[in-house]
Amino acid sequence: MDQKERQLLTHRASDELGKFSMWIRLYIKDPLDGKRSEEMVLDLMNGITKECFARGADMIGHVKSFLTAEGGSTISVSLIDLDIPPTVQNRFDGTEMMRGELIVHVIVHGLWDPQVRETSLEFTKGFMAERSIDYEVINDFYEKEKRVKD
Amino acid sequence: MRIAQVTGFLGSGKTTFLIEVAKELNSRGLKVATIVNDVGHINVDRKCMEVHGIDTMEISGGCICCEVQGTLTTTVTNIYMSFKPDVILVEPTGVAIPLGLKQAAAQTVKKMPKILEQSPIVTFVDAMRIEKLMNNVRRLVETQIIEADAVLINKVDAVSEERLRSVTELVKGLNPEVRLIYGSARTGQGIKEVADLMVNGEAVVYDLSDAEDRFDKKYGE
Repeated sequence: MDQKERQLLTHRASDELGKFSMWIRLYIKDPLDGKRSEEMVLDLMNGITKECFARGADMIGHVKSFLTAEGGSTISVSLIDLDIPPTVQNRFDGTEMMRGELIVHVIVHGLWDPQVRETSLEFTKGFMAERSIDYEVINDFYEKEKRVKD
Repeated sequence: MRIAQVTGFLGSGKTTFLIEVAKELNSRGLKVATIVNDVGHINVDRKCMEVHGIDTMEISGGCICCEVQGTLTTTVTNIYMSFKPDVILVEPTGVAIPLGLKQAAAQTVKKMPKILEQSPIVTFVDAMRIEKLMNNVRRLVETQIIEADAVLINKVDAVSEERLRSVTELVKGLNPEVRLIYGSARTGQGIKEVADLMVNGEAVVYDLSDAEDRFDKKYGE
């Protein structure tokens, strides 16, 4: 058995987790201070997670994000259960954000990777449109090698 | 130089706790580097470490415990050549299993036998979510506990004494001989103990001679 086969067997047998991550650049017309930036990130993460549950997920693995604003202010958020308050580390220095980069990881149990990817990207599109925030996806990733065979 | 690895399911608090362990080791005058192995090629944990001033490298493209074991050796070698830390803290993905991590580190130790020692592997158990995890990812969580050298029951400040007793019984039932530590990054509980274990704990010696056969027997059938 080669290394690749061993890896697939180990992880498929044990996790059944759908994984997706995206790195997006934000262009914000109405500048956001630290509090509103935090709310924006929390709403996005909660929204993606609830949509994943609506589509069949039954447990959060880990949903986490890291926002870097122009000038270096950062916010990191970690969500492990919708019934447990998320952990937030807000290091905004008082400036308002017009440009930022946001990394979001979505790992849930009960959906396969392509479904998590589709759900996350679709929800993000609607979420940003509602807030008139322009964005571009710099990179997105899901572990193709771990999904079920077509 | 020590290589100290942790494991534990997603969201069990590994990154937050290791940041505090790194600070504790720094306060003792030790040089610390970290390696994180996050999902895919886009890393959140590295950024979380770096905002605390911790030198961090990432390994991407798969899980250290199996898929990219060889990459660990290269990364550790590069860190040693450029930084020469006293301790390298390794945080793999939340689905990594201790046996694979021991094997990966043993391969690295074999390349640097006079320089590198492997510290005991600490498995993080999330006291808040353990019941839910046992319902959904039981095999993985049990494996992480059974194969651990030490278990850190984490977030103990956020659960009742009754729940803590129940988690303790669960862990002891699966791995009766394991060293048990109670921890919370928020209160600081367990941080010094884990730091001590990583730098002074008895080095793990893993026999690589029949490692693949043992791994295949356990996971490959």
